[in-house]
Amino acid sequence: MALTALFDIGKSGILTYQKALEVVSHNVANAATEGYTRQDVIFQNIPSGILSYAGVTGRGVKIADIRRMYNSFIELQLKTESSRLGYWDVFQSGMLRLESIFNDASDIALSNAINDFFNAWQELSQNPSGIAERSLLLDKATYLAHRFNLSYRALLDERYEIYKDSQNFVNQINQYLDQINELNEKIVANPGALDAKDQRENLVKQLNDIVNITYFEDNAGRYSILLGGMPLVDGGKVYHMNVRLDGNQNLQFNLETVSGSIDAKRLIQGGKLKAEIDLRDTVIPEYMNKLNMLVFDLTDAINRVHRQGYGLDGSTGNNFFNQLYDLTVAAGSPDITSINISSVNSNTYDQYRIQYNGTNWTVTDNTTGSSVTPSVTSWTEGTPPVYYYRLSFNDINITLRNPLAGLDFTFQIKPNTALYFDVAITDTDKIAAASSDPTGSSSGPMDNRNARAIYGLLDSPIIGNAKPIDFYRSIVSEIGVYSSSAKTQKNFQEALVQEIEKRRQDISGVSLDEEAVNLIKYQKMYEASARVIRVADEILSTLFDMVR
Amino acid sequence: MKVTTGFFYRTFLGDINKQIEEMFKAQRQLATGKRVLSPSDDPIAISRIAKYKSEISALDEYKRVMDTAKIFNSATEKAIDDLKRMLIKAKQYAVQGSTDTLSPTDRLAIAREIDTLIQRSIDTINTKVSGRYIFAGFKADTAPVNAQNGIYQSDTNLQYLDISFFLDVAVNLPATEFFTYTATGQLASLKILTPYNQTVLTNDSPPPDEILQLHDVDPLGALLMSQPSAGAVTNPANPFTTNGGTLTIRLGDNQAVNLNILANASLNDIRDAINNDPQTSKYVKAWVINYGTTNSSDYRLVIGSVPNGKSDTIRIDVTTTDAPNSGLNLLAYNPESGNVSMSFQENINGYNFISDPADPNYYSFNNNYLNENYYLRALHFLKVALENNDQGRIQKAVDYIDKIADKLFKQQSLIGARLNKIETITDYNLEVETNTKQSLSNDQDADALKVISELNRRMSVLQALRTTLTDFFRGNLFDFLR
Repeated sequence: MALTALFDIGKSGILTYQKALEVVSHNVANAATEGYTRQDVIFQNIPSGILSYAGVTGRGVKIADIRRMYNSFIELQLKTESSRLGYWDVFQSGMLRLESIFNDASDIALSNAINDFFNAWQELSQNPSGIAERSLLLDKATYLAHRFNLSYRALLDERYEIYKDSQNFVNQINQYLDQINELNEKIVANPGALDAKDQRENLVKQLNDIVNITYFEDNAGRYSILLGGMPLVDGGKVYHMNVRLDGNQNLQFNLETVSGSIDAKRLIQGGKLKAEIDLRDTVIPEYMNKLNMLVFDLTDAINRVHRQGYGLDGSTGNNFFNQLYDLTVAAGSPDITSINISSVNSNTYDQYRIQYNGTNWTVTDNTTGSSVTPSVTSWTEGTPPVYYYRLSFNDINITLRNPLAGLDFTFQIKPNTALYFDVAITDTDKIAAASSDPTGSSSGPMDNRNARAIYGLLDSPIIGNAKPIDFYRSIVSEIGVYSSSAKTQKNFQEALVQEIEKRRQDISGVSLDEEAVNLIKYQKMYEASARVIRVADEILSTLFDMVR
Repeated sequence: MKVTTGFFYRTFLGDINKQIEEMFKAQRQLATGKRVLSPSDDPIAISRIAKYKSEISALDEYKRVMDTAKIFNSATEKAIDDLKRMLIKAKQYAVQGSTDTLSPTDRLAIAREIDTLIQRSIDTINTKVSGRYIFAGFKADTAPVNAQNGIYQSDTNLQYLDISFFLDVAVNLPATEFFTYTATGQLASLKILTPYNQTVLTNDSPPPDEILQLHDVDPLGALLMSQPSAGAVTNPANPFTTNGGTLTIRLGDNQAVNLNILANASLNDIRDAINNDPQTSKYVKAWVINYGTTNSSDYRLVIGSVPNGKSDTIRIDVTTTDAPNSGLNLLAYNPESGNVSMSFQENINGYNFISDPADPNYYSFNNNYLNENYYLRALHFLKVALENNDQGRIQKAVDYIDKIADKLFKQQSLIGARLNKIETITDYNLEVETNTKQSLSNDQDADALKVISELNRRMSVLQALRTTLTDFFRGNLFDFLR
């Protein structure tokens, strides 16, 4: 041993510090890499192999471990909050798009169309026989209908876009799962592959942003990924997800499992995908239903008054807007004076069958197959007395006039009602501005009483219990509140994520200044070790020179 | 705490972006002038903004309606004014025509003037404003008054317009209120405004005992029997006088005539006796009329002079054994001797003052009721009286014209009230509109000063940030490694 020991010790130093320099330059090179965990070198002295009591030197230095500076608790915190941020980010941009559909701050707001439509009736009441006023009214009415159609269609398009986005997300999820699985195997075969671990960590974070998962590391070093308790990546196997639309046009997620495919929608509890689900299947349908209710009740109220009026040509009983429910009559001839809805629920668009046997009313919900108990009120009006019956069930109120025994019919409110909203009148002469036949003797073309009555609907609680503009502005206001609170949530979440990121950086991040110091340190150590070898070389030369 | 390079850059970038985002928002506020650019900017304000915009839209519409209402009502006011002036002219002609010194040809000339006035009045009533006949009802596309026969041919509906929330005003005035009337019933086809002595040709279920010849009544008054003390006579066919007697009838300076009335004679019998007697019928004529209503009849006898207009010179003396205040005693009229049971009346309900349109004599030319209530009738009465050189009736026409002038005043004040209402509401609505616009502006508009100072603030912050970045990262340790 003796002299060569110096060489060995020097050599161990050179090699070790060369390796340490590699690690430092690796850190410097990856200073800007997203999700990179700083790698640190752990030196360890090599003890001498000689068992002795005293006076033994060591054998140099070696690298005990290259360690990832990684705090799993902070990583977990970061992932959780980042996932929440992903949720609010997607939710807030969805609400922004929803806002733009209902933006009443703009000059082309939907409420303007409603006001203009009613004003056109007031213009008509000043000159009921004027062609110009009648044409104007039809124009405004058609414009109103189109605006509603467009707004509703925009909501439908939004839902479709979100469906496409969800498909993209699911594809990404499946990709990530495959990649994680690959990396799992690599890491199991090669536990020292720190960068592979970094990559895997990054993938898990991206995956968690999309959909909230839980993960843990098993004994072999693989990550097991679970979604709400069901495995996605487990022991070398990957289970994929897919997304479809179900019968009600809602999103349906399926997860493959060992025993078949299961419904995964309830397992998705957070992340961007959850935001898409919430937007598409909870928030947007609520506003679609509110639009539908507005359109349906408005149509019903206006048609009811319009039918009682007379056009310039003496025609009466005409609807102004298209009827928004389908009616099939099995027996009898129902005289339905009004159908309106006081709020939309899951049974609003069902098909109902109504039968009257002269004393009792029977209502059956054909779509669910169950019978419904209506609350019935009846009254009479006028002489000779005309009998009215109002049936109320499932927030639907239907009023019938003079029903006869044996009446049997079914009706169904059209789903996507706002798409069918349109003007039924094409002939301006048939617009019923008059309350009595203007071609008759008791009235004339200047009879404007019905036109005024229709204008008066603007001030009547015809949509549920609200006036039309009030109902509409409560929709807008609600969306504003939702959107504004989503913005606040997102901002808060952003700040929180930033805080946690800062703490993570403290442990795992690369500071160029720190690395520069390390660089100098290891370089000097390298130089020192190299000098040791030179000294050993000189000593050996001296020794050889001694023996000639 | 170690702040790493990457983190610093990233955070810095985020902060710069935030500043730029706020600047962008302020810029948009400045460009649109609106503080609230989308519902989430201020959800409560957006609800109020929608409400204010709706109210302002309604108020704008009401402004237009009020203009229309004002136009129509002003035109109506002017038309009634014109009619008033023509009426004053007519009265002047009437007074002129009633002077004794005029000859029949002079009166004929005046009658021609009255005719012109009538035509001009009909033209005024048929005024059209903005395509609408203002004195018509809902049938405003046809002239309300037929120029040929002067009858109203529109309907009587009032057209209302909404001038404010829950407030309306009428914009037309059907001419049946004061100018002319609609003829209905059996006599609807008659040319109503022709002079007296018409005969009804059709006869659907006539009431019993009514002569279908229209009353040749005296618009200037006749003698009316008073009600018996025992109660009104409900059936003119029942016996009226128990014992009968003699009536001595004298007209003016003429010879007196005696007429015997049998016992148990009914009112109808007495009337027939007077009208059928060759001598009495030269001087007087009798009618049985219902002074009351169909539900509570009150039949009386009316006696008028045969040359019309001299009924106040009739003297009737009665010789009978009937109880006082009953029977033939009720037919006495001798103011000189003090025996007066009948009275001289100008307007006798059911005789020459018929207000029930179902009465066949309603459209008689001498119905004072119609002549006192309808402008056209009064003028026509005057014209015919002038043509017939009838001084008594010309004088009567002056009475009619006075009453018509009264009615015109009433209509004018009615229209004046409408115009007043419109004025008041215009002012009120203007105030409401100003207040609402103010509230809308408060909620909706961006305060330019505030926004500009915000923009400036952020710009300076942004500038500072940018400088800091370049300064901070001017060098790191690597620059110093040899």
